[in-house]
Amino acid sequence: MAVAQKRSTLVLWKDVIFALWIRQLRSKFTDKFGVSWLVVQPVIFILALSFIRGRISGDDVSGIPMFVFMLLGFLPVIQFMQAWGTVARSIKQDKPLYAFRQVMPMASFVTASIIECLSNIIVLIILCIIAIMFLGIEIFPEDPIGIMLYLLEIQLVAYFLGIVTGLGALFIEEISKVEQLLQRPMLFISGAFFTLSDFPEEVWPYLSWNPVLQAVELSRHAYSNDFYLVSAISPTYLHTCVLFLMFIAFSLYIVLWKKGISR
Amino acid sequence: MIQIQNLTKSYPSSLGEQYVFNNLNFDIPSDHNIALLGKNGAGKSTLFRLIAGSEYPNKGKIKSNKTLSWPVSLSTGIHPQMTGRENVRFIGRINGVNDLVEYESRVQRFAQLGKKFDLPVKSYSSGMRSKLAFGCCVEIDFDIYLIDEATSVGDQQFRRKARQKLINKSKEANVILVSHELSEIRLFCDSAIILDGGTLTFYNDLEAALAIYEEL
Repeated sequence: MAVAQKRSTLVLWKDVIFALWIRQLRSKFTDKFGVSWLVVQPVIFILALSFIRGRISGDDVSGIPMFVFMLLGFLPVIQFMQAWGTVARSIKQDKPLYAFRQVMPMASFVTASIIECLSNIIVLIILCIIAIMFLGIEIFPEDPIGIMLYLLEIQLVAYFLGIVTGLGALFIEEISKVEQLLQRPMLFISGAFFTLSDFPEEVWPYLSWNPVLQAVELSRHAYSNDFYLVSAISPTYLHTCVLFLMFIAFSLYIVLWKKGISR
Repeated sequence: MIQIQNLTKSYPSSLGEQYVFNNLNFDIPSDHNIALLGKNGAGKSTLFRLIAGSEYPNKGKIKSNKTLSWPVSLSTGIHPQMTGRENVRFIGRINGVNDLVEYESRVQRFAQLGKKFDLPVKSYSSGMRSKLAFGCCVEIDFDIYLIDEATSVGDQQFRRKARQKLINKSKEANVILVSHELSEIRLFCDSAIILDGGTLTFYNDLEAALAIYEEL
């Protein structure tokens, strides 16, 4: 007879997250393109965009090759939007599973975040290989650890926002619409195609509150110190922002999760 | 024994809070196979979900030292894009089943899905889905099974099999059953709880409970 073992909390979470992981992968890559779409789509976009922008304004932006400029702008921003949406949706998707008392919404969040994080890392690595092998671009960042940190922080912001809007949408359905509304301008205000110094100084205070823009600019500076960092950009602001969002997301989660799945 | 302490459960609605239970205290005795009787909307399924930990009360606690199944209704936790086998493994992993391979083959034998066991569940009929869901639950050893009208699905042959399985279960473990079919209740249960107006009453004698239930 199959016996349900008593497990320690850690083993229980490991089992649940592993089970959810397989399940979410299955529902994420269902069409014929499958996993390859994850790589093909950003590659096409980045090649096209860097080609177009290259035609308009030369082949590099303040010492950064156009392809790398897009790799550290457009790519993290679309990955940010995607991760935010996926993490936020995961709670609703897994809602029938909360019938099993072992499965909690945090497990859905964690699983979705791990999948997003890993697939983003894989895409980034493949794009770097493409850049080195086929485009002959030298990718040797001056501060690789800095780039990793800032890219990770963009992802963390997405996960924490995802927890907030995903939980909120359980109570007020319209929150997911507000989430889409907030996401739409992200591509234009987060430095995906431009740098902050392309904008007039008067608008800097309005744009620089955005942690994604901060992280994008910082990661470009970490790639090449020639890249000019305007005064509105500050790593301290970014780190504080991430910590603050983490605090908000976890507090809301602790207060709301039981109510959220009991409705 | 399942102890219900100061349980309050309500749902928000446009007419204000709808209370299902208000400050309920009750002990559900063990070593009984209990039928949970009540009219539609009395809160049977809500009580089930609360006991199983699928939902949480607004106030109060439910304590038990027994292992409880999840509330087995038609297709809890079955993912349409995964195959039957993958779904079984998923449920096994969530519940911490010690031997997944053995569990898998047991469910396969019980649910009698043939080759379809390795096809995505979306190609199953609704009867086949409930066979799978029911099989997943009864093939794990629990102290108490929470069954929500799950034996009234499937074809005649499967029903017989499911009933036989539940009768065996009701001997070695305990069953709490929600059903409106009296024949089924008489088959598995020896006592009953009547749920009416947010209060629970335990009846040691099933027939006495059924008589009162008919009056409601």
